[in-house]
Amino acid sequence: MKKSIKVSLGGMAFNIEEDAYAVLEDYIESLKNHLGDTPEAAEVVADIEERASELFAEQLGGRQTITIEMVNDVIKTLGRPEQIANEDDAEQTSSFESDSERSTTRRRFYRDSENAIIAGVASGLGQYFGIEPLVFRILFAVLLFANGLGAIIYAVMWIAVPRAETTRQRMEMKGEDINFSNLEKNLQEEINKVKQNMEKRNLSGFFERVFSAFGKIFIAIGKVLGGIVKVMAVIFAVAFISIGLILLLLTTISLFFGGVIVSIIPSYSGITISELIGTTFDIGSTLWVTIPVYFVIAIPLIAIVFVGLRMIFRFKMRDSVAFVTGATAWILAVTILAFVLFFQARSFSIRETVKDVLVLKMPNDTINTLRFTADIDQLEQFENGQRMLFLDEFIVDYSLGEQAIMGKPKIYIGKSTSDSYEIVLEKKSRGATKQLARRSADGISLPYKFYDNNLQVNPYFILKRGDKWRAQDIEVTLKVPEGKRVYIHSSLEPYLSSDQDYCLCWPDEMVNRLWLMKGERLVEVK
Amino acid sequence: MNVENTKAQMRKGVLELCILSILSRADAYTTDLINKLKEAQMIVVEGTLYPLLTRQKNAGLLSYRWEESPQGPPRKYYTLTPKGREYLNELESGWETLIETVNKIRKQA
Repeated sequence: MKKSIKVSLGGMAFNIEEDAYAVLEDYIESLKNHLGDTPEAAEVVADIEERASELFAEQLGGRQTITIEMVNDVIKTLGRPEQIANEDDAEQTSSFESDSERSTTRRRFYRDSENAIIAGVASGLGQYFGIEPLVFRILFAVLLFANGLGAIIYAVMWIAVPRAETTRQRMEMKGEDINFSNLEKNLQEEINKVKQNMEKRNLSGFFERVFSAFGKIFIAIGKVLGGIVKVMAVIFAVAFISIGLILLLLTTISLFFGGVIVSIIPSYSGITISELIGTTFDIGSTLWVTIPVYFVIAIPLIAIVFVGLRMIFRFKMRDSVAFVTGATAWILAVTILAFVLFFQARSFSIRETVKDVLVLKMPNDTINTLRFTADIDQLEQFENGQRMLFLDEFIVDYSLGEQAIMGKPKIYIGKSTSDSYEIVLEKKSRGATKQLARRSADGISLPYKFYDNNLQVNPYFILKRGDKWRAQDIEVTLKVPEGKRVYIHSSLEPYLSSDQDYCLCWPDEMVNRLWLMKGERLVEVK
Repeated sequence: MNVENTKAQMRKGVLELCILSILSRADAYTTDLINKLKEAQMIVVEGTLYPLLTRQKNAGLLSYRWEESPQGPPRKYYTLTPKGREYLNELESGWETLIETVNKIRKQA
């Protein structure tokens, strides 16, 4: 079943099939274009329409509806617009036998609003690929659950792809497949054109024969190459689209929903990029960072997807508008990001150190040995590793529901100037101003336990809740008085600095041993 | 060079003469003209005739009237004007001379 339209042509009424009508409309449009915009031309067109109606009446006989074959026939009888127009110019150029093959149309991608459920994107895709639109509808519906990606793609296509409005566009929507014979036809046309040009310049004879021989070879090569190029183009396009979409999806999920990208970081365990950014950036919302970053990454990805779509679909669109919009948005995002980073960088400009000295009072003066250990039981809570990120010397922990930043202390053994053991905590931090750096340094705490002759320090320091990461650092120095001893437990090995002032030895050589402070050196007690 | 092209050129030159001379015998509507010219293989595609007719009409060589047809809409009937008749006479004598000259040349060669 085909749809037919009622038209009036040259004073007669006809039923004409939709596709036939499109061809006829195209023909008359083209005729008008060729003849120009004069009253004389209008008269000629009217005469020709009249003649066409006569010919249709003849052809129809008893039948009801004009078909596309009839239209092509009539056009053949009347002549192509360029032949008619050439006659009018009273100068003969191109051939009389120019074929009327060109009434077939190239297929283009349009939205099919007639069979639409929303805006006709899926049914347009269906028309383009000659597949049931239901396939695309299901695809969109499935992608909808991929964080609404389906909706985004749908919306982009809705905006970018024009609706098939005229009959001509509806024809193009269902038009001829792009295939090898098409390609060959185009090549042949090109070669014919060159041939004609050569004829014009009287380069006939030998050159022509050589040329046509070459031409045939070119056509053969062209056919093969064309096939390869076509296949490559499709492969590239599909690669573009899929890579673009996958990266886009990953970026979206990483920045706004989960932690796909962060999971590349070793020892990741479920912290999102937003949370990570939140450890350092002190702007109200991490969206100030994630949204510009998203645009900076996503716009080129969208461009890649777009290029891929263009390679397959060749839909009409104003590229310049798309380009300018995309580029503007990208530059804007980069600018915002640069501003945010610039202001953030200022909060690292000044470094301050706060020094705490604690005197360790022994229960009685006769004790001359201190057992120094790290409270590694504290590390147990990290073992399940949930919602926790280990970055270099720092740990970001969300396991208790809120952000806690922890870092690894550096431990030294020094010499006390008094008779008592002392611990010196040098807490360091950066900040935008001296005050801020100092406040942030003050926020560092290193829990420890001291009982009998045991000193047990936490294996990590903790930032005050709500404090941002400002490259905080803590140096712990245990000061041993002259003539007193310290036993360094093996649990301290990871925290001991390898640059000790009182011992030319590595951490692994220091642990599990008893040391005596004697003069400027620590001496091992056997 | 293409022999079909040259032939088409030759036909085209005398097409005006043919139209005028068909109309000199009797008034005709366009389809009559087309059928006669097609029969004589003077035209290949019909569309080419219309611009020519319009030009001749605008030059005052032809005029037309609308006449009811037994079936379908009214038809355009073309008539030769006195000016057209004069023009035809000149073309005809020109044509005779041309044939003579051409034949003379051909025989000499």
